[in-house]
Amino acid sequence: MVSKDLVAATSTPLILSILSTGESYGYAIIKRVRELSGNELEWTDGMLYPVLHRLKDQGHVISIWRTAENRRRRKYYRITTSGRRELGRLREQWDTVNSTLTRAWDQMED
Amino acid sequence: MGEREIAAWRAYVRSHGEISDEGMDELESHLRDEIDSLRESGLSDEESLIIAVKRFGNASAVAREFSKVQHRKLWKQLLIDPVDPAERKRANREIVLVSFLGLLAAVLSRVPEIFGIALLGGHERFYVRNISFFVVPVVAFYFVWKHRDRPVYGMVYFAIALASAALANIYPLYAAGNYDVLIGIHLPIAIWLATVLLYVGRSWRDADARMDFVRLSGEAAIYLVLICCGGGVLIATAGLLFSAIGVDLEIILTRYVAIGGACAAPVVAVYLAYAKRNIIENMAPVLARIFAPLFFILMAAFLVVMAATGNILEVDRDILIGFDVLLALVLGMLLYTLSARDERKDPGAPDFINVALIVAALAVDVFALVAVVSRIDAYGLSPNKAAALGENLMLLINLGVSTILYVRFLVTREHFKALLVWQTKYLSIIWAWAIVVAFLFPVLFN
Repeated sequence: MVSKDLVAATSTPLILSILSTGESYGYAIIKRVRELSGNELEWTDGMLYPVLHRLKDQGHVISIWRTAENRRRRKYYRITTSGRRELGRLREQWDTVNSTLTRAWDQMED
Repeated sequence: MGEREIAAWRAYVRSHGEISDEGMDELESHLRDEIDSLRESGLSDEESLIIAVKRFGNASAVAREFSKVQHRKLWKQLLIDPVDPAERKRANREIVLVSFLGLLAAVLSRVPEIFGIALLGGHERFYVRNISFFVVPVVAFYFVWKHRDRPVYGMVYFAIALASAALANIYPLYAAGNYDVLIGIHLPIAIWLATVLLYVGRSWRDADARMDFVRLSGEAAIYLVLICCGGGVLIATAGLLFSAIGVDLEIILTRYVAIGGACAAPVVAVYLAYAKRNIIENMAPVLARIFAPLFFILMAAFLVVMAATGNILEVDRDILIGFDVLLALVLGMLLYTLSARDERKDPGAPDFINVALIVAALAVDVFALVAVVSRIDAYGLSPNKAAALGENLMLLINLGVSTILYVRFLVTREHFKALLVWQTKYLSIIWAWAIVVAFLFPVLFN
């Protein structure tokens, strides 16, 4: 079980990464996260939508209401240029964290 | 499939926090996706619904998370500022129209002067009698424009209003001036209640539609008061500024700006009530809730003091009007607390306050009735006293039946709707009474 703090910290880069491969909507994003994590990460809607709305306020994503083939209306999110820049920044930070941790753990095993 | 359950779920989640319509739409589409995927995995409709709602999680936690992000947004939404370009264009057009209508109303108020009927030239009574007609055309036009899809109701309404205006001014009995105050009070009530035709069209008999109209009226009235307060400040400031440089603007300000502004304000108030009806919490029920207990205390204290001192109600005309206003306010408070009440909720403290309020009002009404009757007995029947008698009787019946229905609801915890239906049906009676006083009284008492 991944801790709540860690889930919160990874939510923005994960959402932006998923959206950078194409526009999507809330339910599909949660499903994608589940797949990517091999069923380890189970996001709740109460966590996802506030983050999406904040990203929208910050201009990193835009939202569009679309009507799906079954006449259902869905709110799709699309990443913006500023969102891609933000993703780049976040990725650098996570790469740093990631490589630091990896090196530290490598040393432990030595 | 489970549409009713989904609607109930939606209302439930919503009641736990400040979630916008759009936010709710999004959560609902999420819930539906979840239900669909559960159904595809072989569950029944009902099972899918139950599990999807369960998975959705604790409604109050979700709503809280939402509210955190949306607080800022909700404040922003107080300005009418749609995002969608087409919608924005339409909204801008509406603002232009409303400004134009406001200006038109201000100009209309000056028209009688062209024909030598100046407000301050001994023609006050003309203005009292016609007070509704300075405002009606523009407000009605706004409603008609808003509901362009049903022009027939607009035409019927305009015809009625026009006929009333003609009747009030041409028919010698009305134009003579003895009934100006009665007409001036009752005609606006009748005409405003008839506006429900413009607002809801065909479903004007329906209790929910009428309640919706009552809500709109309350909100519009509050906006009107606020706008008039603002206008007062503006005019006072203008007078002060110009008097500082030795220019006396009093006549221009009172004659032109104040009256024109007062005539322009209603259409703006209606527009605001319309535009914001989906966006923010209604104000009228909030005020009603604050004042219901206070008015109860007022009336209870009044009754206690009257009983303790043994003073009998002494009535002259002003006091009678005061009583009618008090009772009408009680009716209004009842109406607005009812309008905001969730029908499915069990009775709570506000309901007991309401019942106490109605019962106290009933007692006060009985005393007022006795006083009116004894006055009629002593001085004979006059139009004003007959109107007061009728109004008190009308309120007595309304409050009496309301008490019975309310107590039944408190006891059985059912049939809340009957109370709403009664109140909204009663609007027709109030309307009919207003017409009778405005147009039949002068004939009857001639």
